[in-house]
Amino acid sequence: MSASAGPEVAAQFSTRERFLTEERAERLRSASGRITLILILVALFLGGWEFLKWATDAPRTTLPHFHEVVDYLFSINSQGDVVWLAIGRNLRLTFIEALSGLSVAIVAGFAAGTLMALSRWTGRGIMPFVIGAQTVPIVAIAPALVIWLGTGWETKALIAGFLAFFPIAVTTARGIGDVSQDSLDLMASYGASRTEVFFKLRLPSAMPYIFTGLEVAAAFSVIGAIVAELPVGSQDGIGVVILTSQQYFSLQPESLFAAIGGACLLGGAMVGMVRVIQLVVLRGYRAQELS
Amino acid sequence: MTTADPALESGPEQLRQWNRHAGVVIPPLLVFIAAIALWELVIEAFDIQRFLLPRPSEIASLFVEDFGRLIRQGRNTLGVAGRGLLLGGGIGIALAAITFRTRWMAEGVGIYAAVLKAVPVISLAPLTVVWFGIEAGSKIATVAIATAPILFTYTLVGLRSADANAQELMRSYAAGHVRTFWNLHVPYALPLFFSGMKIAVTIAMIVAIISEYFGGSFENLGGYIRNEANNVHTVEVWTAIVMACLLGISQYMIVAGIDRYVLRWHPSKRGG
Amino acid sequence: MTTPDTSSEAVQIGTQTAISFEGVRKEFGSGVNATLAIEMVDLNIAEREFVSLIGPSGCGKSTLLRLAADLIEPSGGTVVVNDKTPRQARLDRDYGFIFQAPTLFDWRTVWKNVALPLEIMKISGMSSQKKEEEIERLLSMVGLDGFEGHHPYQLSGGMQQRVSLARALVFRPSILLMDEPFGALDEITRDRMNLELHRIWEETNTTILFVTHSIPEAVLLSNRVVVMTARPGRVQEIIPVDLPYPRTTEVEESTRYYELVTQVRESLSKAMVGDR
Repeated sequence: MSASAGPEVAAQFSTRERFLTEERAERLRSASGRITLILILVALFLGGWEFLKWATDAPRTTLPHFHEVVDYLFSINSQGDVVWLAIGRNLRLTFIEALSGLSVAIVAGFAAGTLMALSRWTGRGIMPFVIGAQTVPIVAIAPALVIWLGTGWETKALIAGFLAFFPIAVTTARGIGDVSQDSLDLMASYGASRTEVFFKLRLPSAMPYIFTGLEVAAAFSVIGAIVAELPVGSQDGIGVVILTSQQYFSLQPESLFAAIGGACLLGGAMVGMVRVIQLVVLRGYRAQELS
Repeated sequence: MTTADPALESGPEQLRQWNRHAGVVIPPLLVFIAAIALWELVIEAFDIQRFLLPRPSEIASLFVEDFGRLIRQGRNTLGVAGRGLLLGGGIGIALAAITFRTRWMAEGVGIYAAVLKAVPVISLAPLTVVWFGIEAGSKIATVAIATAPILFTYTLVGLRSADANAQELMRSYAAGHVRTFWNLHVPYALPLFFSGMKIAVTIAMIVAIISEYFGGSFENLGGYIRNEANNVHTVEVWTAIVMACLLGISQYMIVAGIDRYVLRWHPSKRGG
Repeated sequence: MTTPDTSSEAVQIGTQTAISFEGVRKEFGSGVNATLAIEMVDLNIAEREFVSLIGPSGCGKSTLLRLAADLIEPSGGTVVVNDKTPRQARLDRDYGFIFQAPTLFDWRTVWKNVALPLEIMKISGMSSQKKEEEIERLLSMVGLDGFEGHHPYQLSGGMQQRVSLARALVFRPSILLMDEPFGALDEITRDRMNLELHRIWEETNTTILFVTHSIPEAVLLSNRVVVMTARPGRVQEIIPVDLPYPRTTEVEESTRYYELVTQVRESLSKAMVGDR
């Protein structure tokens, strides 16, 4: 066997080139494939909608035609507003509530998760309650909170934040705590300080975990904001629109579909936002399977 | 090595076992007692009105008094959550089992699942009422919509995680699809399936209560909460919250227990 | 303990002791569950030596290595590294540790993985340009130029272990502690890595303590092979390897090489029988 490195290195270069071009092609193929797939799925969804209506012969009050909902969006409501603009205004408010709640939850959840992971006794003491508190029905607390703190957007942001806090705290704790002994030994062999171990090892290795929690939290923050808008006294927000549409459902069924569609778009936008940030932040990471 | 008490070091196996369990039980207990004390103290110090935040002692005594009714209402809610989970989980797991071999199919269903996970499920509650009636049907449907995508994703990734070598081993035995599925893919999928279940039981409970909150019978936790909250009976609301938490936690623990038992062969469960 | 005669002209073994174990004992766990991993280990490794530790699995080879690295502490006896306590040696960054698994950080590129120790150590008197040159030199030495921007998961196992080798060398530690570094590699890659390691050892002034399962590997690389008994691990025999340098493929085909391999093998089987 020869120890000469010449041909071996050359071979590696060519594999590397091949690797890169393959990767680029793969990415292109998967991007265009994904768009096609999404278009097909949208078509399937609309087709399914209309098929269901046709097959069950559902009246307008159970399932309107899709185009009826679209028509409604461009009509003028009783306040003299263009419907989709009115829905958009309410969505904006709910979005602000959810986003502020999520921001607070990120800070608080990250801090709590880190504390739980780094201090064994704190972790053992608090973790069961963090898991338990997730089962607290937020609807039950929301009315009391609204009475307490008023119907302003801050209250709603707080409720949204409460719901978003737990997934972030739990995944942060898990991610920060789940570091291989070899990696810790490696850092110890460099005489790394606790701070260095945290910032150079624990935090970066926890990022994929934290982002899975963040995605759930983004969806939860929208749910929290909507739930917070439900108790009596709220004037604006997509939750209020859904409630009013429900009351006038028999008169204007399209409005409930439009409102729900709006809420779904908002949820999608929040989660999509987190995903885009994740794509940028986790650029160098191995692809995540669970999301 | 640095244990102060030599009796613990040389003590019988049971004692050490007990010691290990105590480490898991005592800290949460201390936190719990401290939290309750703090709660009472805050109410005392800031003179917080009863309808805003009642005392824990008050909640506890009413909880004991109303226990019979609460457990009845809790059972109804649990029934909705359970049936919804069964339906949603069944759909999710079935879709995962059907599609996991075909990449484009799994990806297609996966996109729907991702969208469904981003959808604020509660906003669908009024619509399910229109379709499935104001009673249990609509609630079960909402729970199913919330839990199906979770179990689909976890089961799918689990089924796909089967070791490539083991798959080839099954091939070398000339095992058919069905046999490979049960003997290889299912065991590999179990750890992630249970992780998904732990999330799904919690979500099922929350969603059941939220959808009950949207209307229908009062003979369940969500309906009771709606009724009492409208009358600003905060103590009553809190007893329902406590019941909901207890049910949620016990469900979680049951699933975790089954997980530990079924997967006692799995490396992650040993020595924990 | 005196340093052995290596009959070498190219490689000069120092006279200073780099690592010494004296009556070292290590117990894991406590009470009835305690297991004695190693016992009564006396071993001196001179500066510039290449010493291999070999023995049946579970004999405490890795334990010995971790004791020298201050990753664990002895239950009895003393360990001295470069005339200091292992802790001081660790804080002084006297050694580089190479694990059986490459232990690279997924989120860092190859380049940044190699740069990691420099970031933590903030070595004075080394300009950033010099650091970059050093990283570049090491990456090309381990045959990885062109892969600086890759992430570990994009590389094969052998390439990953070469990154970890470069990472251990980048701060020029006087001692390398290697825990079966090539155990997971295929034989061809392993042979190549061995020769590379040997070349690095000849070119630099490094002391190497090398844990391995492979007898030929131990004989080919070392100037002394330490054979250990089964648990609790003790030193069974120290076999000096008097093969000429550089250790090329010709050396691998010499009769003396085969004699030494046989000698180690016999000693090893005695070590295993002695335990029964």
